[in-house]
Amino acid sequence: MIWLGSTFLFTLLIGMPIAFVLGFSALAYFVMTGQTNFLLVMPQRMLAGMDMFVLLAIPLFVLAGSIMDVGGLTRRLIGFANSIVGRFRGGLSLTAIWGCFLFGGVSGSAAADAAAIGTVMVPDMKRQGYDVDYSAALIAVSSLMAPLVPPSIAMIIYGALSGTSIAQLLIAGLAPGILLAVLLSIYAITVARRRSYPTAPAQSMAEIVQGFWKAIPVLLLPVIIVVGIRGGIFTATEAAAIAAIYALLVATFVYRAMTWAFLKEAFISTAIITSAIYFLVAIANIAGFIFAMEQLPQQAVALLTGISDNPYVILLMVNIILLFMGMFLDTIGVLILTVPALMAIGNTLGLDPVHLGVMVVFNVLVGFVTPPVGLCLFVIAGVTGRPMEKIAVAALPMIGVALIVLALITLFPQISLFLPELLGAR
Amino acid sequence: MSKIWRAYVAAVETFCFAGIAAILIVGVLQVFARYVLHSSLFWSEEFMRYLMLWIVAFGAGISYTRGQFLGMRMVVEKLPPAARRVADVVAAVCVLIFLGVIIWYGSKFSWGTRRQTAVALSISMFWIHISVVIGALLLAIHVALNELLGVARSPAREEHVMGAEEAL
Repeated sequence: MIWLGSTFLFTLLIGMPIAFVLGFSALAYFVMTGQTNFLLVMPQRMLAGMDMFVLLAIPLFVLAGSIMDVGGLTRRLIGFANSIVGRFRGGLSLTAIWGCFLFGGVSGSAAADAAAIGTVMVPDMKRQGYDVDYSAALIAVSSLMAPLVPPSIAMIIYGALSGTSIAQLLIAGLAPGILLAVLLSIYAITVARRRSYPTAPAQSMAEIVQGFWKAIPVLLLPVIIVVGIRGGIFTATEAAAIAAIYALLVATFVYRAMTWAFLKEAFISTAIITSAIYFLVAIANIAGFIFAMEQLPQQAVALLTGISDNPYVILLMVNIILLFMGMFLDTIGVLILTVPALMAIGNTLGLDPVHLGVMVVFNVLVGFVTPPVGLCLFVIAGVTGRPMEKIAVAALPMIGVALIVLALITLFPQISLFLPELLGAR
Repeated sequence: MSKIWRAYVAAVETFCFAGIAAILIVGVLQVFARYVLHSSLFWSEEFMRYLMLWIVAFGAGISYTRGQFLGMRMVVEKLPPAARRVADVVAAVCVLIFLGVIIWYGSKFSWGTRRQTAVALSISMFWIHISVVIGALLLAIHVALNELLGVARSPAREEHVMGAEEAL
């Protein structure tokens, strides 16, 4: 246990990639505790961890998102969002928020969302007199909706690590995503009133219909996923395959924007990025094995229940620990390290695993917009050319909004669970 | 040397392209067979799972070079260049030891399972399990070239290293 912990900390601090930190710590643990007969188990556990049909939803959803990103998709979604919310006070900031939401229905990636919407919206907002750091921060926080709204790679990884129904997790993320969009909109409107940001001219019904018509092939993608999974027409992996082929058909025949070079790049980058995720999942299966041997999940439960037996206090502690870890470690790493213990805590408290999953995924996503290593802050800083610290300061109140959503999700399981129940996926 | 390297990268990229395309086609075919032809494919799930293992085996090394394997760099970046270099070399050596163990025991494991056959595809499980050895071997080559010899990094990607998190 000491060997495991000290090797982990040492290799983490010298900047070793998290997958190897976990792998090497496992190796050190087996060697130092004299259990070298378990070394044969390592490649076996890695293969078993990767050899899961549900995980194939990852490359297929990544592929669907990158294919859909061809030829003016972002403009189309933003045009549609603008035709509806542009007329309110702070219209462009609302367009940015709901544009991020719609983009999230195509791509599960917060980084892609922040980059796509940020590239288009920040220059527009700047022209209309919006503060650049404010605009950048708003888009960074709004991009967290991408991994909440289906499709979501984060939900698939959580489901695979915890054995929770991925179909239910995907649908359960939708309502928290909408809640975040609504609360961010309220915040953006109050800011716009205070700083008297402009409104866009109201568009006629005909223009709204036209915007909708242009965007509808894209908007159908998440609908296909949700309707397909609902009532078990497809498994999550099959839904992902259908989403990818649908994206390919729409990009090729409806938008006529597909080129051979783009297609090839989309397929190859899908394989490359999925390889890294699979490798992490493989290593997670070794880590899980050691956690079980050392009974770490049980110890975590004993530790937390020793401090308090009030479930809300325990959930508060869990959320604080996760937020803290999410600030410094990469998201998949946090999930690998904590999911076994979280499942044990969930069991003890009698929590629904889908509810727990949405809470945990939302929580670790907040790490994307907190310094020092927030991925979305990093992306939006690259897009806007502004220093990350300035954007992080501007993002503080919005992170507060995200934490309110986290608190609501934690306290009211129904926010996550009513949609899966309503749609009969449970 | 750089010619061989480029040929290797091109070969891996072609395999990745064909592999992902095959997974997409078989995935769609599986749904089509069940809902339109009303007869499920018995081999499709197994085929997709095992093909993905091989895509990971070939893709992981390039994935490493393209900065998809990220660690916590905060502490290291504060160090003076010489100390950082030491930390990087120590880290790389630890990674190579780990991968060496995976190569050795992965080979033993694969060889031990050579008489088992895959349920649907009826090929020896050796051909599936050896993928983890190939993957670790290619990763080790990439890690050694990048971290110890300082070659073969693709500099254009360096600025946008975001790690696998990029997909989340």
